[in-house]
Amino acid sequence: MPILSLKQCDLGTPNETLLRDVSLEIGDGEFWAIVGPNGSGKTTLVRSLLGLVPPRKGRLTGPGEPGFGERVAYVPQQARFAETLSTTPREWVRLGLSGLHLTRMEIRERTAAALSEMKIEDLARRDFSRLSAGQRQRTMVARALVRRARLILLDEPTEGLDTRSRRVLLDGLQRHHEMGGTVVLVTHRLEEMETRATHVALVDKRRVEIRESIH
Amino acid sequence: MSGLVEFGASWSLFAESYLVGMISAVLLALLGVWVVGRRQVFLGAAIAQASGCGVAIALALQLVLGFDASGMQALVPLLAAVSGGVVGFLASDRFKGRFDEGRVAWIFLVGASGSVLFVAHHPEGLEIIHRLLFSTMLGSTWNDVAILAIAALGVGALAFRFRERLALLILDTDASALTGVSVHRWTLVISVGLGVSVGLVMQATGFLYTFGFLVLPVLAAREFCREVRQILWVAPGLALAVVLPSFAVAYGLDLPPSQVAVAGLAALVLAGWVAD
Repeated sequence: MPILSLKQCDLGTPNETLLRDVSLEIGDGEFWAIVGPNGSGKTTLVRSLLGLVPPRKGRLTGPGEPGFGERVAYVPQQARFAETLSTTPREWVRLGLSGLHLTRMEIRERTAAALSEMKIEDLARRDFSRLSAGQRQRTMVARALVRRARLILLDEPTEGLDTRSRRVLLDGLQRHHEMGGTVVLVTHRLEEMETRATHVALVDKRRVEIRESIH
Repeated sequence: MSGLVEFGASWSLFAESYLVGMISAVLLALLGVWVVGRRQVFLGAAIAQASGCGVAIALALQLVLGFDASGMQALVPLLAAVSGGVVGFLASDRFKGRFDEGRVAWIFLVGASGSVLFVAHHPEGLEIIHRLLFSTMLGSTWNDVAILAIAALGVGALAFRFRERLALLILDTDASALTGVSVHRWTLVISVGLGVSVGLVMQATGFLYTFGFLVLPVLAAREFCREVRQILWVAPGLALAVVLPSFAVAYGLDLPPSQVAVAGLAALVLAGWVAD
């Protein structure tokens, strides 16, 4: 039983189709890499998989089903936030538990564990707007990990990060995968997909080509 | 000391005005977290201006339909709230197309000209609109106190009940959607509620006070708070902490209270910037 599936879907904006006839199934324990040139529609594919952009044609299963929000977490391409208000990594990560109905103790423990996993516990109460790009992105991954979701989708999370931030982030994802979790990673970097991916989706020229078990 | 005693003694004379000022301050500061957080400050000004136009329409209807004073007590808040609510609806995600700054500017300008044009032939219309723009609370009634208290209690209770959801909705709409929140529905409800509430406050306190307390308490609170959830409570607290001393100072020095209160908040924001 796949967590997410697209069947013969056309994907894009309300006014334009960017990807045609896309079919794929994402199952438990898989590590997907989504690759392709800039502007090819990788972000559209990820947002469609999450149900944030409805398909123009075809069938999407997963989003909208009971408990979907508890099974899935998402890390956007860049940590967008309301710069007009103050916030901290601790608040970001704690808000990742929204809708899970946990006790205060559980919230505290999970938040501390996720911050520690991404090695940002000492930044927990710092002003989020003053963190580096890498620290922000690790915060967003911690927010995804804190949900303990089965599936984590990440849209180019390592773009523009220094080596240390990239390693911490990828190690965290690797651990999630080794514990049976599913990862969907949009990436440009060959080394990120070659050593980890069980499936690769090549996005180019309005098409998505699937390759399995590349290592 | 004697100034404070005199201010206390004036309470029985201006109780409605002071209460309207205090309740509005708390209500607007709560709403301001959404407005500032979602970068809709100019929309806040446009809603206030459109509500002024609603008041002008009520006055124009009085000329045509001949409402008496008690009829106007109901019609003015109603039309101010409806005008604000309509702008809030237009600004929500449900409205077709992109609701950008240009459309907000259009609403602001239509509201500004309409609020004068509708009352151009009303014997007291221009005077009333002028008082609204100047922001005086002297004409406040117990009716205003009751309406605003209900609005403030409602908004406060909802903000407390849904504080986590609101914080996430302000910071990241995609993450909200993934947790099962209907972002479009929530945005619609909040935007219309914002418009109605701002409209009700506007017709009782005027433009400057409404806009000032919608924006400044949150700007001050964010200088002293680290997280959105704290701002949700610190902003109304700061608004309340500033408003009463400002009224006392205004009374003692014979100055307009709305302007003193807004200047006090602006000074607090400045202090936060300097201290940062």
